[in-house]
Amino acid sequence: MAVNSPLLPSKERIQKLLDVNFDARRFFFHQADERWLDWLWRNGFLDVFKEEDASLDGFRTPELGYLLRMSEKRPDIVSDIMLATPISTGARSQEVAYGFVRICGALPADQLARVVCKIRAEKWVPLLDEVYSHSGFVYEEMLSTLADVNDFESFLVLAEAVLAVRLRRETDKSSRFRNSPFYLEHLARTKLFERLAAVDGEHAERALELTTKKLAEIMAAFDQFLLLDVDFFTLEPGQSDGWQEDVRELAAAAKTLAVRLIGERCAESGDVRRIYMKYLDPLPESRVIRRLRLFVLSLCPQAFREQLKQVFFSLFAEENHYDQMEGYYFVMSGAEYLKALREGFSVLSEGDKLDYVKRTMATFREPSDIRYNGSPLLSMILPYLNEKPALKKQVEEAGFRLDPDYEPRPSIIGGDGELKTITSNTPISRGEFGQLPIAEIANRLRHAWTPAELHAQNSEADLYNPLNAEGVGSLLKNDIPERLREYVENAGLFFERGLLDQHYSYVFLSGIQKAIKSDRAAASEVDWAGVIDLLTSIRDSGAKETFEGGRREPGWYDFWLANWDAVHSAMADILRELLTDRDGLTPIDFGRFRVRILEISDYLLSCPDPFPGDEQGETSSAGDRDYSVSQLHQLAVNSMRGRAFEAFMQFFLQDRRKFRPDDRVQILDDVKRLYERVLREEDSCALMFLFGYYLPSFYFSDKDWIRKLLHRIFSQEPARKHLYTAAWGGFLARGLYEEMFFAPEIQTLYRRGLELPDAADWPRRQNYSEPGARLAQHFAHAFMHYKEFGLDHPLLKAFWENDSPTQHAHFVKDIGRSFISRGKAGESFEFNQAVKRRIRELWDWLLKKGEEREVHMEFGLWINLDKGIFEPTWLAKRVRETLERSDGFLTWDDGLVKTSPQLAQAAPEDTLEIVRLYLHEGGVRGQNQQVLWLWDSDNQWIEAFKILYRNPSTRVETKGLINRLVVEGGRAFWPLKRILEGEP
Amino acid sequence: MADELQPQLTGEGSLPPVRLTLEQEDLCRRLDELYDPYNLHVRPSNMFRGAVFASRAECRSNPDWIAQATHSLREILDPILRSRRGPGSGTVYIPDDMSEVFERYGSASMDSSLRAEVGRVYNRLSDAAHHNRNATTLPDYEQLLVDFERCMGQALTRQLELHSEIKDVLLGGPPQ
Repeated sequence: MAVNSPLLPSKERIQKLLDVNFDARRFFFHQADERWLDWLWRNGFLDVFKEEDASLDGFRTPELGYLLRMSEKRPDIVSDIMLATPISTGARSQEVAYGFVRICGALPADQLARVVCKIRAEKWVPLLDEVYSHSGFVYEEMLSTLADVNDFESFLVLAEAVLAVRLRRETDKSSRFRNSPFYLEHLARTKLFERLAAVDGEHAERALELTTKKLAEIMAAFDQFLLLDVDFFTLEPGQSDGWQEDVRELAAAAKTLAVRLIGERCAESGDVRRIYMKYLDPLPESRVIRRLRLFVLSLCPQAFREQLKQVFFSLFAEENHYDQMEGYYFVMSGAEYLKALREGFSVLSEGDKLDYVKRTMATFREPSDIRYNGSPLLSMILPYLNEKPALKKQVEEAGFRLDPDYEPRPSIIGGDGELKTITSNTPISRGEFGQLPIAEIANRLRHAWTPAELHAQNSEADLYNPLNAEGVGSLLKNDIPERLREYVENAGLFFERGLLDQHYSYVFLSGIQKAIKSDRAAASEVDWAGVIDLLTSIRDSGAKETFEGGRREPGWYDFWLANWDAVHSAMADILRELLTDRDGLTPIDFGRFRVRILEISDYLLSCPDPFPGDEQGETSSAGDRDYSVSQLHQLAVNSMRGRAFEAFMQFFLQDRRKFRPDDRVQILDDVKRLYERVLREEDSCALMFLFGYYLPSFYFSDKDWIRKLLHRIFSQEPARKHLYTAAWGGFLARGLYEEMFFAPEIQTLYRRGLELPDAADWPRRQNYSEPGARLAQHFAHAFMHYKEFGLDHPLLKAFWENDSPTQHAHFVKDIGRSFISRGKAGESFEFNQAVKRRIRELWDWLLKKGEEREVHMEFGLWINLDKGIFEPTWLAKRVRETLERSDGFLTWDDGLVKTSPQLAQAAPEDTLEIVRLYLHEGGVRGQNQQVLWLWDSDNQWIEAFKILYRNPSTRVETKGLINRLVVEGGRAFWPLKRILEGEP
Repeated sequence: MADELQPQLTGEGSLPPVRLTLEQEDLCRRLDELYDPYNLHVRPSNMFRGAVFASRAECRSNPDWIAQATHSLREILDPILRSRRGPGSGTVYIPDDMSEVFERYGSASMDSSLRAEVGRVYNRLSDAAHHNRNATTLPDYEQLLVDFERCMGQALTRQLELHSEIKDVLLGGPPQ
């Protein structure tokens, strides 16, 4: 039974078959062999390439796939078809051209040669760029096909097409940082340039023409491909490291061809001049082209005597005088001018030589710029000067330094570099520094090594390698771990307000902190009195007169050095490091220094940073920070007061050790006073986040005391609502404590948290899920762990009565993710019978409750038969009902796929409906992409289908469903066909 | 002519069952599968056989045979085309509409034009079934049966059967 009775195939019958639906067309072209190709083409079945047809899509068009398959078997006909199909600029043509490119990659050389002119003429490369961002790799095979048979004629045509350069109008702002000027990227890796440079002698001139023309085209369209690190004299193919690789390789190919055609044939002076004048001389002017020309001219100085003279003397042209951008910079940019001078100076006439020297001396008699003085120029012609002792003497007396070893280098790398990185220098070596007594170091830091003194020692020559406080600072930092004890004993030497730069105090403190961190065992052996004394000194000084915050005074040599804010942050970091107990080691003798550390903490907790004003906007402008204030925890731990609070927490934990576990109160009054003082004065969200975050620790130290402070931490005042939400976010970022969770005052807080809107007033906190989600997770965990927190608990009832499907969805998701589907949860969490029953009851309750679709979508993580929570029949019914409410969608389907055979075995009718809802409704019709991937042969769905098909009660409907899936879903479901094989 | 040598039959005999063509047998199977999910108490294939039976030459002395045959055919389409009055209304009831019924079956080609064609066949069957009020002749009936078989056959073609047919077509190579 089919569209037509089984007669011999006719054009009409085939057309009718193809017209039934898209899958029929797709299947036809998937199955058709090479016998059909010519017939289909002649009878118009491949005219879709030319016609408007809404079903044609570059990736899915069955006809293109067929043509690609046939390209290996009947490349002649396939080429005919492509040649007969015009490609224009329309969307259809772009789709077809994309398919044709893939086909061309599979064509043999003789057929590909027929198509290359079409690729170039119809500009397939730019055309496809509008639709697909494709790399050059798709052309690699074509280029290699042609080169391998030495069809360089066709190869050059294709190479020209592939080397399409973006137009100037396309070089907008967004393209300024492009790594390649070509439409196609990664061309160097296709060996295109290598092959261009190696074309046979007959085609070498055309290859030179193509490479130089493209180089000039790039320079005209872009201003960022200056090849500043390239020296044409040393440039070789394959040297690049990726940066602007394609242009470098193009330049290398041009150079190689120039050497072949000119450099290796200097004796044929007429011909090499012809080649130069034909291919290089007419190129549009640019720095790169000028440098290339200099190199080429230097290959045969005798042949190019006139050109060399002209270019050498262009240095002195009036318009070039003292104009860096257009003058010397342009002419002398890179190493090529100097190297060409070295190679070609000798061919100038005696008069010209003398004239050049005189003019160089005149032009550069007062060098104003160390990079472009005359010494390098005259060093290049030293052999000539050596022959003229008197002239050489004049040169030297004029102040020029003649260096026989001077070697010109490219602009970026070389000693005459235009662009270099700055590397700090040090006044003495690291070894010498390590030999100095600490007191001497401290003395030098105050005098000889102040930032200003160091700066004064620099000359212009030290521009890129200056002596500075950073260099000295790194010496100090590296030396501290080598003699930690000695530095600690002398810690007081590293603070003297007004005399010792704060940068050095900061370097000392951060060096000490890193030394503790890297070797806590050694740090535990140190007497830290020196450091505590130092911190106390800074505190006393700050108490007497507030340290200036913010950036240092503008001064170009030191504005980036550490300021007093950094010093205070480093103080807090040291305290935290000294107080933290890790692996049973606390570096400091806590009892001995307790009182003084608390005083220092009190001082640090009074630091102004973070500034509440900065939290009003989206970003902080305080200090050096530019991060978002919405990341409260990050802001807190990177602020002065936040770091101090973290250190204070470690202090509190050390202090609590003196209490017994059953002591009702485990916190001393002085600690409470400090906590209360900071809380009373606190008005930044970042610190309030920390108050919420660390609440459980203080709660369990004295519940009565902290209860009285909850109104302050979680303020009810409308003006402090943002501070409340910050503290609440911090509280939710932590886990649960049963006793605390059920405490009435905390329950009240949770209830109040329910009243907060989902997202409004809750800027996203990057380190944690948004608070609505965290609240739901708290409740989900409480539901799983605490039997008292059942569906009849007032707080949980209030949660579900709240109109917040997003939070409800998080609750469902978290139970699935953290408990039911989590492998490790099975080990740490006991799924006793009561818990299993609660989970089942919850699912039923939610199905009856009528939650939103997004809530039901999260049940995917619940579908599990491994933990003994559900039995298959029960589970199948709930999954079915859930999918009915979620329109066939699940956010996570691993569990469903895995259990589908068991469900099909136990509950065939429900499972058939599950399959229909999930694969057909949600998958095919809802375009759920995770369903539409091609299935592996061991996909569990296939097994489930087999079971359903074997079952008489679901057999017919399973057959119908498979057919529907194939009709609408296409190839993704073709693997199901074999289940029905043998069916009438 | 009676066989003079054969002994005379005593009592009433019954006509032998109808022999359907292979295509008709295939159609019967598909019709049964179409309604399989709905557990109808009557099998559509029996109705189809009944229609063919009623129209066999031996039965045409029955003056109402056309009405009875077309009535059987129309009954096959009733569950999807007659106005559905709900369970217990006396009419064979299925909860899905026509598109859903064919979709569950896995029809490859059911679309609006085919649905309209099935509807037209149904209307012609209805007219003939009402005691042949449109004076349907034997040729008309025969054409109606052909149309019924053709459009139902098309509507009951599944996608994978299309695949099979395409494979068969391709196997033979292109037309010469």
